[in-house]
Amino acid sequence: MAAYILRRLILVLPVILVVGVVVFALVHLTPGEPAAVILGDRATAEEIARLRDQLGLNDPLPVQFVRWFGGVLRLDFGESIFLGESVTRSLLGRVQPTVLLTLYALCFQILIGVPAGVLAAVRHNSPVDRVLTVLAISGASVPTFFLGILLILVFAVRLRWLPSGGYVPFTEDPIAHLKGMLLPAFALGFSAAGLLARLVRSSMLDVLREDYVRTAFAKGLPEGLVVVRHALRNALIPALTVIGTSVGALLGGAVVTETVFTIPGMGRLVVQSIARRDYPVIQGAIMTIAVTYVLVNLLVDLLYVYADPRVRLGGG
Amino acid sequence: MSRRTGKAASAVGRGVGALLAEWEQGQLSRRSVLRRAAGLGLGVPALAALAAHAGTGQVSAAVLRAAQDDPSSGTPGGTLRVATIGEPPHLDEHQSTAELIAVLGYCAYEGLFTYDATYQPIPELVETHTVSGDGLTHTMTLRKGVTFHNGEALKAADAIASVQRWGRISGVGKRLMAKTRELAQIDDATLEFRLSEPYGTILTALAHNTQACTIHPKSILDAAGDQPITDSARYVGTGPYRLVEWQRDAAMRFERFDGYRSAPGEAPVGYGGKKYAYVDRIEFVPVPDEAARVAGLQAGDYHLALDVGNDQYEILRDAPGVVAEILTPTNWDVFFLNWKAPLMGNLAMRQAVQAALDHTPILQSGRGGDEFIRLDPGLMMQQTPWHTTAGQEHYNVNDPALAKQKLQEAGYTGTPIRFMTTQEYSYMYGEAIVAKQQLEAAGMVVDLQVIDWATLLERRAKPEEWDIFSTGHGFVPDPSQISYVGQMNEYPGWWSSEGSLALAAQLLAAADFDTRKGLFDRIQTAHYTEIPAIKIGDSSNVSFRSDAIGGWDGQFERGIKFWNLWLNE
Repeated sequence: MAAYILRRLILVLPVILVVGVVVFALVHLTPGEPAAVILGDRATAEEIARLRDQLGLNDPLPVQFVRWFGGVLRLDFGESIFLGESVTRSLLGRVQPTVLLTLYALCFQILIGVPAGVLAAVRHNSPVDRVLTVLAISGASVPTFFLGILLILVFAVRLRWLPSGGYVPFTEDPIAHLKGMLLPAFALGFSAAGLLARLVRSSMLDVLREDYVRTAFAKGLPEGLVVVRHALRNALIPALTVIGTSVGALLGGAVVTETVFTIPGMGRLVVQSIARRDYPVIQGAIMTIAVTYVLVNLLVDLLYVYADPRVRLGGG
Repeated sequence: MSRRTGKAASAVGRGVGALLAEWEQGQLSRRSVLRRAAGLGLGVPALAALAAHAGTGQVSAAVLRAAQDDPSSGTPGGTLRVATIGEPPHLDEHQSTAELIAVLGYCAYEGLFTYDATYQPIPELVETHTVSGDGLTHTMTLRKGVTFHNGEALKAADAIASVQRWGRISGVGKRLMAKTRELAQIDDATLEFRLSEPYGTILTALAHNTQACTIHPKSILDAAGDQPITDSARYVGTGPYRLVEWQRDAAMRFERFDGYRSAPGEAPVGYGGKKYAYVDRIEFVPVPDEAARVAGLQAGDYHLALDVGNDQYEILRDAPGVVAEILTPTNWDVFFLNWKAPLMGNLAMRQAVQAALDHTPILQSGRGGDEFIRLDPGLMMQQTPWHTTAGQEHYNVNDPALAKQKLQEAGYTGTPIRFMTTQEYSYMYGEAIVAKQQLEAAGMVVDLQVIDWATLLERRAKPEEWDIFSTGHGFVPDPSQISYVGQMNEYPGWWSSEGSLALAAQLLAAADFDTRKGLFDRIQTAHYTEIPAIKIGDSSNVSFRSDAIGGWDGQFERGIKFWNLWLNE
């Protein structure tokens, strides 16, 4: 197991290199002048040239890449052009809202998606199944930003039960924190729950047709026990993969959700940094998200061992 | 509520409704409104609250203004929350022309001069100002007892260090310092500009709040040098509020500065005079998504939402708790033509573009209905004494036949005109789309290039990459601050006729208003005959704010006076 984990961690290095090259190239080949964005509409060409020089943007691209990537290997992502602070500090300051939003959304995804999928499978072809199927497809189809705006209109503008946006750290005020995160986490999690529900339903249907389930029913075990103890565990194995990959989707979705709900997380930082052409921040944030995604998938692979004893890691 | 109280409240409601109706029909003066309100037993805050709920956006805004126009009647306390479109890279005024820095900076910083209600320069940190007979020596004595947020007392050395740093960095400052032979310290409270030749716009330059000459402690400027100040603890000024916390991309928090020393006098004078600092705290929250800003305002999370598009007016004009007020036109929209590119370097070609355009549908496409737009050839807004219609015969020409004739004169062979615009500012895109159709109808081939704003800023600096770009121009109090007049031959488009350059230089140097007005009239005439740009027309923004806000005085062109606002909560 330890050797397997080590091997997978070493494989992160080429991922970092590839992501680094692609991100650096994309960001720097996109036209746009960060110095002009910082200095404002009426800045003179002389002022812009002076700031470019200060920021080191006049060096050849290969020189800039080597300087930046060398820093990345030492976990130094450089200085933000716009924010005037280190990228590491910018990211650390925004990682908490994004991680918590992703976790809460994941909770919503699982709490909605798994029971809905199980219920739809158990009540296969019934009105309950059809209603849940429509809801699941709607969840997967409705864009997060649209759902987010609808939720704001209903719960913040009309009912005034919850804030329309913003972020309060948990340590500062846990209640305000949870109230603020409820709508964005639901908007993000509901979309992902639709896909999970469809997968769990299909997987459960397969398992429910297995001989051992039929045997369990034949032995006279209660339906709830058969479904939860015997069928669900096996049906959840493919769902684990979806949950793992959906962490990536949720992190990506946080970009939109954080913008709609004014949450100062990494997603919104990426969006704003693109508009500001803040190259180091864009690069640092995407590298962080990519590495997180790889590590989460490694974690999912490890969880397989516990979910399915037949799986052996690193066996070739 | 008891039945009796309910009846009384409904009578008051009817009374307010009648008041509003008569106000709308122009039957009542402001004094009559207040007198009648007093008769109904309503104080100013109660009238304001009821009026906002009872009337439509514009009417209630007018009544609110009438009810609250006594700036000394405010209530201290509370936190004013403002949703902004983004946040600035820093709060170092000397370094950037970004409007957001100017708007936020007004809370914390002050200059030697500022603007009065008619945009004439008035002293702010200066107490007395004298000019020698030859106009070459300006002596300024600073107000006594003024302290910075860090506790240091304001001295002439601070003012000199600030002016010198601003003069090294900003375009306006460089031009002033180029004419300044010496900036001398006479004593602890007095400084003297010794000029090499008269510079008529010296006070205007020192009063302007975009890339402003704000005054900071010398100790802080010495440490920063000419680099932008990025440590938020070092954003120190003498203003009524001090920055206490800046959580990047989350909030900027200002708190009332207890040691603030206001200019003498009992009343505000434009952006100067008495500053009340009613609210305890001001929070600026960056909310880039417009729908989120609007929802936050409706939900009561913000008191003010800045940079909200005019298309929200219909939605918000009757929204409970929200005042939506169409403001006096302040912006004008403009297409710049590239004099350094072969196509637009040709006068006949520029005349063809000028002749082809019908400005009304262009403006409507960009800015919305007729209530938001105004056709006007003036490069200076009507609310300034500089407004002129000089050159109006070449404004909004709308003559495609003339355009075709000019194209023939220019020898135009169908080379695509590279027209840059952006969707980040929807009005620019909306106007460019209609203009493209009109230019093509007149026989031009248009290559509309829709790019993001950062790219547009980069490419417009390169003369070889474009022919036309669309943009907007904000309100300026003095014609020397029009981007391509003050920075003629520098601003993209590169207007560079010898005659106009000479006029612009004289405009900067002359001190007498009548002389300068005459010069500006000639510059505007030249603008319409030489055509460095096409002014499309004026447009209004809408102020979207909570009806809990008091003290909104209607002067907003250079930024909202947050320090005189209060909350009726």
